[in-house]
Amino acid sequence: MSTPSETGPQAVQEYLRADEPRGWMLLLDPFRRIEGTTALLLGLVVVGATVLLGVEGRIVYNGVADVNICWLPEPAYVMSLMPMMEWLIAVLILGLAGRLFSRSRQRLVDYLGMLAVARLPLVIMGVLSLQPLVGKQLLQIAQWTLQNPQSVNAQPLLQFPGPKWFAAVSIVLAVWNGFLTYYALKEASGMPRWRAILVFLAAAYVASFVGKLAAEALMGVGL
Amino acid sequence: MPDLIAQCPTCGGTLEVERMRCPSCQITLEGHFALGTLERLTPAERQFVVEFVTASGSLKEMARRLGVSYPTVRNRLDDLIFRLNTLEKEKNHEHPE
Repeated sequence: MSTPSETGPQAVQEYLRADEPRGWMLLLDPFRRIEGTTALLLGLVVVGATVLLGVEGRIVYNGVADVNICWLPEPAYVMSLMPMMEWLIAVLILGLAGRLFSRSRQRLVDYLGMLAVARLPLVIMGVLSLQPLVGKQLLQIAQWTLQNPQSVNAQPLLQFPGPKWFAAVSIVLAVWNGFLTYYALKEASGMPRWRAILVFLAAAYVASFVGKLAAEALMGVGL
Repeated sequence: MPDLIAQCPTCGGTLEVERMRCPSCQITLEGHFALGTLERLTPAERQFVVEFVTASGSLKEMARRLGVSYPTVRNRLDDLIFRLNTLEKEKNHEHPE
């Protein structure tokens, strides 16, 4: 009744790997391959990129999943602190939620690393926002809106072709960021799927709110 | 010698042991012997328990030895804990003391 592969370490490997995501699912949940110290190192590169984009490209990460172009003369330390602060707020709030709602063994390094890697789509969004790709046209839209305060609808988007595709790509990247953050929480906490979904929705909402408040406070200090 | 199987390959029900033999003195015992909780696990699950104990309960060490990630081992451990609790309840229900 038993084949050789049903016993021994090979059997355990097969048993363990049967549960791992494969193929395109790895784009949404890469955290069975990228975890622990590897995730932290990669995550630090991602966070470093957001800091660089903030200081050099005036891309402001003023929320857990927000990317904007900074029109205000914020000092460099504000621009560099903000993405790090938003990442750590996400780690703190989602980590606390994981601790509260999961009985699994959890590691801080997973929360730090996975939630940093989950910000990769925000880096891509930041790169796309850089001039001369889209930033220039977004600046024109901002100026046009300031000059025509009575016409603040979507009319500028029809005049400038760049932001239209940028808006479509941004939606895809925002959805990707959402999935990556959800799977980062799920894999770091070990929660079952439905509990992870509910906890993620609540914790992400709280983290976004706290992130916005913190960003406004930091920008207030900067000004 | 094949590993002991705990579930009926036809209907999936829990099997019972009816006959046991001592290979040393050739004595054979017949009766109704209940399987223990660990024997009710699949061979892969039992091997997981062996790997877990020999790694001193360190999931990190176990993941390193088996070439899989920490979350993969941790999730399977959670599944196994749930399964062992269920099997314990089933066993107590089948054979109340």
